Amino acid sequence: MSIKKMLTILMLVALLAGSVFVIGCQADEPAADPDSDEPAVDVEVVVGSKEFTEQLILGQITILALEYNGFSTVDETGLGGTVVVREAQERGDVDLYWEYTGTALISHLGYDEAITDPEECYNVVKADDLEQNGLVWLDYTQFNNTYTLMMRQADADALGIESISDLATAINEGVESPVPGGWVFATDHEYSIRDDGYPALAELYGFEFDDVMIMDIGITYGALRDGDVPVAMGFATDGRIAAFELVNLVDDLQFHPVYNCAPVVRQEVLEAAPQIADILNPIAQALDAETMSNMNRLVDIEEYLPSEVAEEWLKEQGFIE
Amino acid sequence: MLRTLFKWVVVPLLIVALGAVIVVYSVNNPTDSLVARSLTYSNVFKALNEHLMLMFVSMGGAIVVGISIGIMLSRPKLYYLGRGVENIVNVGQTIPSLAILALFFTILGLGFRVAVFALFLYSILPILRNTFAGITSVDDSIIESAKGMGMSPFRILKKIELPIAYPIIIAGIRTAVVINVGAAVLATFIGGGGFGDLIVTGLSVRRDMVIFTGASIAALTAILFDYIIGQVENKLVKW
Repeated sequence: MSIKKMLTILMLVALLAGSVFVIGCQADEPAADPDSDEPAVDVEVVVGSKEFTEQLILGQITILALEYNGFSTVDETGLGGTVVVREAQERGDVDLYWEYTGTALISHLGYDEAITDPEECYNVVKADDLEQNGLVWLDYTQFNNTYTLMMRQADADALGIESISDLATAINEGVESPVPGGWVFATDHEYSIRDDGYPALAELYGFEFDDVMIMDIGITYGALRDGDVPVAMGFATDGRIAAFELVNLVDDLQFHPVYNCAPVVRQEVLEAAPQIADILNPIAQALDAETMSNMNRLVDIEEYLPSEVAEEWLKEQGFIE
Repeated sequence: MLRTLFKWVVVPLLIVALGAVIVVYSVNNPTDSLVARSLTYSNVFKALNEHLMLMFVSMGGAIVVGISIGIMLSRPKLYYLGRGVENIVNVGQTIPSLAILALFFTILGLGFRVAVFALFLYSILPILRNTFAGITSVDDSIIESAKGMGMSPFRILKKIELPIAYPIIIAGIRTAVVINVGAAVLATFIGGGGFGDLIVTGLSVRRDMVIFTGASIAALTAILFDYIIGQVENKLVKW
């Protein structure tokens, strides 16, 4: 037998051994479950999330907490935007994700009036969503991750702008933009068209930017920091607002509804495994604005993985060991 | 005469008219308020304008630079470099266009100009490769006999190499244009505008009509330019 042939056979054997090993490993996995104290639950939970940092962290928190309690999960976090993940859930492809009360109110349930009281907004959304779509809202978090218009702290101080009304007045009076290129507004695709987004905001406050620059959600903060634009949209709990020395403009006409976050579960899944509520409700109650924006900062600025940050926090709070 | 008119005027006009029909229909029949806000004439024309600007500027630069570098590399003195550059170009072509945009976003920041630059670099590749391949594929015996007739290297390039290589070079430009129109859609992620604004907005709020309008007009743009360059190619080949 030639050396070439022998080598070929050796490689084939190695390949075979390798695949047997891999299959063996997969078969081992479920057997590891009885090690944990909780009994394994025969429900597989598909956990989804939207694409931005806070959602990725919340998704990982959910996955870790559920797996610690014996559930098997499928990680579908990081789906492309609100509507994608929501439609996936309505079709039953995603069982659970964290949604914001204001988003559900305006985008999913079709209200055109914002509700600015957190409790009231939550109750309306919870009742409607269960009745219309068979989706159950678990307890909501204290933090309000509302849309926000941001400026650089230095620019805002120099122009004396504290609220969106101040900004509207400045633009309408022809005050010169702090950056070359005029009053350009950096926004993501979704906010540029949402019912509770820029067009309605501009109408309510009675002003218009010179131009709207549409870009990916992750880069509006950096664009503002680098002076590419004078004003950008963002999320109020994002860790980069403090880190990049940006400031949230006060929404003095209360245009944006409240966006408290809560896990939303498909009713059938919750009925099959009611423990999910007992696991996630205490977690939602423990999440406040400071915690959330700190976790966002750890991922966006300190470059930890969402799963690392989630695990760290869950351990610190004693939800997992 | 009639055939020329048909080829050069009627077919392009038909493509433009189809695009106009799609725009007029979708602007006037929005399925809900979100679609109505997104699909206004000013938004669609802004996107069209930005998309064409992205394309013209980057393609114009890429054609000039790609063909001149291709010709330079095919000269006997630089020929040894040519093979190496060809390999690099082939590898470069395998990098996804989104990755190219993301790369230049991290280096140069965001906006229209960065998007143009990334598209420009990406479009050079097929043009450069085809120019080089076209010229080097000219049979040595033809070049030899031209030399024997006493032609200068420049005359050989102008009268023999370029005319023979034309179809291949034009094919490279066609490839680049189609890639360019497609890749320009991605400029929206770094604030470069174009039809990507419509398509990605439509995707993020799941409004099929917005996606369809943006995508179909982008596609018609690609078809139109591909067709026009194809016509130019036919004409030049006869010449």
